[in-house]
Amino acid sequence: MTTMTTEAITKQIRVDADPETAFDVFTGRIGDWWPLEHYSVFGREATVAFEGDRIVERSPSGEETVWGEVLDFEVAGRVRFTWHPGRPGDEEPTEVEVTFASDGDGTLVTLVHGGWDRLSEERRAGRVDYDNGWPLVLERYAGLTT
Amino acid sequence: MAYSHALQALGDPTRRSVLEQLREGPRAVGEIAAQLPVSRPAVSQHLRVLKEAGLVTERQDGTRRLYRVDPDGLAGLREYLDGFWEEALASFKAAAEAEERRKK
Repeated sequence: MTTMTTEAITKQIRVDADPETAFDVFTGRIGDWWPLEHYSVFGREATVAFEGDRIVERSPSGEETVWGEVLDFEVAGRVRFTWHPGRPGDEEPTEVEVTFASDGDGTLVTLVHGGWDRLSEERRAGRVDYDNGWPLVLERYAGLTT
Repeated sequence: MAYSHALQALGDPTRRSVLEQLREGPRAVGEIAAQLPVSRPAVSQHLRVLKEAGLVTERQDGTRRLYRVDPDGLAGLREYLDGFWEEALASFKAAAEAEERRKK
């Protein structure tokens, strides 16, 4: 009935830049392009960056919140990270994988946002934990996007 | 916008649990409460919030009031997330292409 919400969200975009540049801008300069004015915990004055194995948003006054943890980092190829913005201690985060594939003189960037089904997997494994698992991302953004 | 209500409604772990149960099929308040460490009135309150957020609908079935997931509400939530990534990626594309031009 509602299986569509548990399928991964897949987005593809072609970029007129080589995979190295695309990867560098995505990971190294996320703070330059991320629409913080619409999607952030601290608002438009915040910054966000890949810092080591974490994606961290910081407010001008020095608060920080972790959006996710980097799981794979293959330069010019692929980055994979957990994704739980607004919920720094989330034990059942969703997951995002972004791949960069050479496409002529550009790069095909594919983003897959999945991990929605973890709760059902847990249940199949016999561990019922009602406190986790709903496909939830951005609830803290809600107030900022209205 | 409507989906922010849905996202806010889902910010509460108990409400997520309620919705998880309803994804398995329509339930009455008592059935939901039996599976959770919260009282029936608390479940009713959570269901009201979920209903107002467009995620759950209710109908009378004989003497029972059954709650079920509203597929339209969930589809809307998904559209919202879809649009979110589209916006982020469009912005990324512009930045990557600006960088490429700068290098040339």
